[in-house]
Amino acid sequence: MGQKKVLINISDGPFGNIFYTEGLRAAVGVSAGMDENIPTVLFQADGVYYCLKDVDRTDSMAYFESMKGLGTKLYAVEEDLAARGIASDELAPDITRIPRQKAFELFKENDHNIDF
Amino acid sequence: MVYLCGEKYLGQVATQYAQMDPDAIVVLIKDGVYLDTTPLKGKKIFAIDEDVKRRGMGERIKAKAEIIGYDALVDLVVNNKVANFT
Repeated sequence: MGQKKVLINISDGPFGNIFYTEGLRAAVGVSAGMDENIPTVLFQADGVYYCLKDVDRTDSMAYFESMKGLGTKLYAVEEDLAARGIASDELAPDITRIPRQKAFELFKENDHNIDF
Repeated sequence: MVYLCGEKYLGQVATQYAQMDPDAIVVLIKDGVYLDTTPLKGKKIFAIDEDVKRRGMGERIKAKAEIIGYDALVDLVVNNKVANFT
C-alpha cells in the first residue's frame, strides 16, 4: 500500500466522551504495521482543552509515550487557544502552537484526515 | 477539498478553513444548514435536501446553497479529499 500521512483531528474536549483518547489511540494505530504510516495530531476547537499542562492524561498515557517514541507531532490551533483564553505557559510542553493557516496546510498535505 | 459541516459550532471552524481554500466545496448537512455562510461568498456551497426540507429551511437557504441529495454527496465524497466537521 505504501506509507501514508494521516492527520488525526481532535475537536472535542476531554472527558465526558471517548473522542480524545480514541483519537490518540488511532494515531498510534495508524503508525503500527508494515506501512509505518505517519500520524500527526491536531487539537482544535474544544480539543485544545486537552493541551493544558495540568490535564489528567492517565487514560491516554500509553499513547502519549508511544507517540513520543515515534516523534509524532502534537499541534494546537492558536486561534482556538486564544478564543478560550489559554496562554502559552498553560500548555503541556509536548504541544506546539500553530496558526489556523498552518492547520489548513496540514489538512491539505496529509493523505487522509480522521476526525474525533 | 470538501468541508462537511454538520453543526453550527464546528461548522464555524470549517468556515475558517474553507475561506483559505480556493478549491473549497462546502456541504451543509444536518444542523449545518443553519450555518452562516456569509464568509463563504463565492465558494461552492451545497445543502442536503432532506435536512433542508425537514428543518423547513428551503426558502431561507435556496439563495445561498445548491440543494443536492445523498447520491450527489456520495459522488463528492468519493471524488474529493474530505474534512469532516459534523
